Amino acid sequence: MTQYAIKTEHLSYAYSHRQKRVVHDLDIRVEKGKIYSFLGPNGAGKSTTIKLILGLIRPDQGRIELAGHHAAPQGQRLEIHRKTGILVESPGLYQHLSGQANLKIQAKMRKTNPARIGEVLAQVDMLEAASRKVKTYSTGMKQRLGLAAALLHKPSLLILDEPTNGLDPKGIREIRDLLISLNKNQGITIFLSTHLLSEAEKVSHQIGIIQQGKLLFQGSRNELQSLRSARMMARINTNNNAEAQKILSTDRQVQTDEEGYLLVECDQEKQITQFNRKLVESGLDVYYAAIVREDLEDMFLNLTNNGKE
Amino acid sequence: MIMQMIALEFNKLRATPAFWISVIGPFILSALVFTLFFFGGETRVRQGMNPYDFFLSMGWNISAFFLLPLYVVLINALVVSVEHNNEGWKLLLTAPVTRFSVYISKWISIILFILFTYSLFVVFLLGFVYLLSLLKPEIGFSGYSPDLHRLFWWFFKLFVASMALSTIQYQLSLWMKNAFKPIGIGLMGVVAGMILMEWKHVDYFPYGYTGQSFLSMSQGENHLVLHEYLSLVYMVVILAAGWFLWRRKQFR
Repeated sequence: MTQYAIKTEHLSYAYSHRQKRVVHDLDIRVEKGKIYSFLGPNGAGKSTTIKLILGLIRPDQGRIELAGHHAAPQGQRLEIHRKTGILVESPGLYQHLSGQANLKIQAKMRKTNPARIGEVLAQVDMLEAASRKVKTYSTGMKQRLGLAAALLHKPSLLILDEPTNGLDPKGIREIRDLLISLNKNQGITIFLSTHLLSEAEKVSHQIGIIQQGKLLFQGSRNELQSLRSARMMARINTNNNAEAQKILSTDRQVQTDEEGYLLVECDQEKQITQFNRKLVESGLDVYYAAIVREDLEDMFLNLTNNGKE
Repeated sequence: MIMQMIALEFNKLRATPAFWISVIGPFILSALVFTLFFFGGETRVRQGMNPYDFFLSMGWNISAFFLLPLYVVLINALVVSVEHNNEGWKLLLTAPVTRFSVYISKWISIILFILFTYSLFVVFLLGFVYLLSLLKPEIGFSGYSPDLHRLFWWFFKLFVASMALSTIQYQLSLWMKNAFKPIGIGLMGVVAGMILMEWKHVDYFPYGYTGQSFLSMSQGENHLVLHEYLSLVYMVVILAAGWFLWRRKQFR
């Protein structure tokens, strides 16, 4: 049986009775030992979902299980918090203290060996800046320190809200590599939210796409990619596109794009040669024939636009 | 766990305004009383008066009505705003500590701050009056010594009188993200306490309690009186009611 690190059932939340739900009937399944990207545009309900999971707000409906335990507001919370590393929106850091002092406070609160402080600072490449006050840090540095704090007590689950927020491309890559290595070498389950599809694709085993509080897609990266290949098309232009459409649409869907080119549904790249042959044999001149794939980014936008309708 | 949380609280507040006003406030206040006596003390102290006690009671007089309650208002706002300003609540409430220990340890820390500051005020007052007796013996210190028993009661009555005010301000500071709001409300309350000094029901108005304690001491009451007992009752009731509300607070 699949073990879930995070499992929500029919999770719903509205900020007030009068307002629309920001999280709607969410069934999230985060498998143990995997990296799960919770993907959605800004304002889709990602942070609210994370706050619900963490118990900072209470759901109007639904149930949350963490590591197989029902996460009631107080019941199992302490045990769960002991095993979970958390980085929320803007990390909770005391601006007037140094990075090191912040980690010391957290180490004491979590009864962690202070020797870990140096280790986690090295992991996020913050050793040099550790003695500076947090208020002098850039957003990216705060994010790194927040991540260091989340790792301090060797958690088995990491919940990270936009962990690469404010980082430059190099920083994004470093954090991505760090997350992958934490997952691979220490078996840490990671649940991270992001609005960047490319990020989600690069790090995660599982992806959940949320839009306007609803889950539009949830599955493995491969499933998402096969959805993508299902959206492969042959783009064709001939001397008589109306005739070509008749010929090709006998066994498949054919559409016309804005330039008047034909878009023919296809499953495999090599099918384009069959289309070409068919058209030439029917006496048409083929000027252009190419495979187009719907970019994953387009697909993400499509998925999320559909949610708007 | 609560003890550890209190220790962390002080770690967090090192070198913040909360710490500095707690140390510098009583120093400046005592220094002011010293200045008042250094220049023209001879004319203030009349024959037969204990100059030590006069100095000490002057110290409480200029602080009890406005500055000490103002300090209580400020320290509550400052200690709590450290969490409001730094997303600290999320940090505390996702750590393996109970909500109750977060709630109570912060309140205890504030009470300890007040205890520390009032004690420091006593120490500075004593220090400055001894300094004055060395620099200005002509004020007539010889033959007298400070009444430490009475000094203790000044301190203790004002401390007890501050409990209700502090617990109310703690609740306001917990719920109001913008620290200026509880400070503003507190300031209005303290001013109202001064205006209502003569009111017959002033015993039920916590913002005037420190002033009332000063008046009670001036009448020689070296023991707790009604409004001080009421201060403790308010403290317990508000602390408990506050917990029932705050434990269900959502942190959006």
